[in-house]
Amino acid sequence: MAKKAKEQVRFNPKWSEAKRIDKARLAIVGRQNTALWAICLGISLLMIGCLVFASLIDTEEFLADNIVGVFVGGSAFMSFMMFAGSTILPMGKILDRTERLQRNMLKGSVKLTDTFMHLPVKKVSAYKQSFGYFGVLLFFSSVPCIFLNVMVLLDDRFTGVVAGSSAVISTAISAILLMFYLIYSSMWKMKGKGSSYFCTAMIIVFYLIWIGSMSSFMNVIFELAWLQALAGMPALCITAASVLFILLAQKLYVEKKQANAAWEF
Amino acid sequence: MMNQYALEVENVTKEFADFTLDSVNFRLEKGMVMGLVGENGAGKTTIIKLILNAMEKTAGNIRIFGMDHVEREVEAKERIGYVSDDDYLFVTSSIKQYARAFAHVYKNWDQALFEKYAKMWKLPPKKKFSEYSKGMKTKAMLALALAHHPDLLILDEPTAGLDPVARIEVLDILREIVEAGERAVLFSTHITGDLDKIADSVTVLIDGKVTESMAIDQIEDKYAVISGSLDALNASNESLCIGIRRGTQNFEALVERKYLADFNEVGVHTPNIENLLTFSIWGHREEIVELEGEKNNG
Repeated sequence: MAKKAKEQVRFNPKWSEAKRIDKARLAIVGRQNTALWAICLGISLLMIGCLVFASLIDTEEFLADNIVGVFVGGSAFMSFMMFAGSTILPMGKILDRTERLQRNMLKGSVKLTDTFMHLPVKKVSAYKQSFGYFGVLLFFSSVPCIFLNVMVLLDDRFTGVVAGSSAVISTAISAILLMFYLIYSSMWKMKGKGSSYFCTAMIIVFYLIWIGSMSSFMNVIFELAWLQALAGMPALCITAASVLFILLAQKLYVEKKQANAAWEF
Repeated sequence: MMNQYALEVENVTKEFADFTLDSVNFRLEKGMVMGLVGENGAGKTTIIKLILNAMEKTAGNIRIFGMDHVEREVEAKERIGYVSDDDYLFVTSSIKQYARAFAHVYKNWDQALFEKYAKMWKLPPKKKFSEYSKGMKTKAMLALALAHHPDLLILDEPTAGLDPVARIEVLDILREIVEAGERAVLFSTHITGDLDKIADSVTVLIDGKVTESMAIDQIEDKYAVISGSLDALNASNESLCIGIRRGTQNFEALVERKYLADFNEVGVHTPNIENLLTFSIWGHREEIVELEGEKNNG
């Protein structure tokens, strides 16, 4: 009886609506999601840890291994998984066909958004819940870029391919972070299939850069002098500006625009 | 002054590229059951989505218990229970998981009541929603919708796709809920037979327009179904018919009772909701055919 009383969930008026949404989401999706989250978080932290320690402890071998992409891309990918697996907003603009296929296979809704739009919560709170997890993506994808570009400034040995690749990765990740607003049409609304094609193209570019920075076939591009010149302070500025833009846009524009918005996307 | 309406829909318009919900008006009083009828694609689900702010209206006002449905969305939805034909639940979860989730977002969530319904309707709490039969899914949605003590139930074709036994069971449950007399119910359906025993009023929606919104007992006061030989129809009285169903020699039509004197040698019958809906649809189609004919000729 005591156990049953402990399990009883009650409405908590002290929580924000975004937190209530997240608690409800966790109740619906179950423990598998938490396990997936823990695995992705662990790998992401491991990637960042390896990047920092490998570059500091044995810099020569780190630079010779051409391994920047493994750590930066790996961390960004894992953090994207954490974000995509936790947001209640639809990833429809990117995964539209996959979602439709799943809906048909399961003979019903697979989107959490479909459930929440019928519950006593506002769309803006769903944006806030989603943005909380987007912060995770923001952190895990920008920290390795910031670290690498700081290293370019501090250590001459980081110039060359690493400089070129970190400049490109910083730019790609900045662009992908900005894509958040396009996915949810929260700032720009591309008509028809435009946003889907744009998002798909961005992801392909990101993966090409990711794979390219792990092998040598992209070195021709990474060794371009003007690209290497972007590494360090310019790349730090690009990353900082995109992060700042995202935070300000969310607080000053998106949350105001969505305050009384209908749930359609 | 206390607001007597559970739901007020005023001049609500929603424009799509190929369809327009055109200036829809109706009011649902507290404690009453309104049937929202229309053929598939008439705009019934669109109205419900607009009420729930799942879709943005182009124009008009919607109030739930006097509250604007957008500005006071949370308070308004707190008082709504929603059941639909289309599963809006995450199908790989169980209703036990859903009950936990709903408890986080509904202030008035009553776990004991939910468990009572689940037990009464034999819903296995840990079974995945996707493994439920169609009838069980509807009952599960009803249990979830009722367990937070809603004052307004919105039912979007809850009996569509159910086998006859499950449909009767669900209708019996609805009748019990309605007979308690405290809740207002908006029951969207194209199966008008479901409404005959429980609805107090009906709103007919045809091609995005409300053609009639009235109390059930007013239908027979206002309208009559007439039948007879095609000879009884002529150019002047034909235009008085709301809709006509023609056979090779005979016809049936829906007319307002005040025009009955214009028809000679016809049988007069009492209409039901189905007659009101079907004749209105036929009349609308004939109107379109005539308009297209005029366009082509002109």
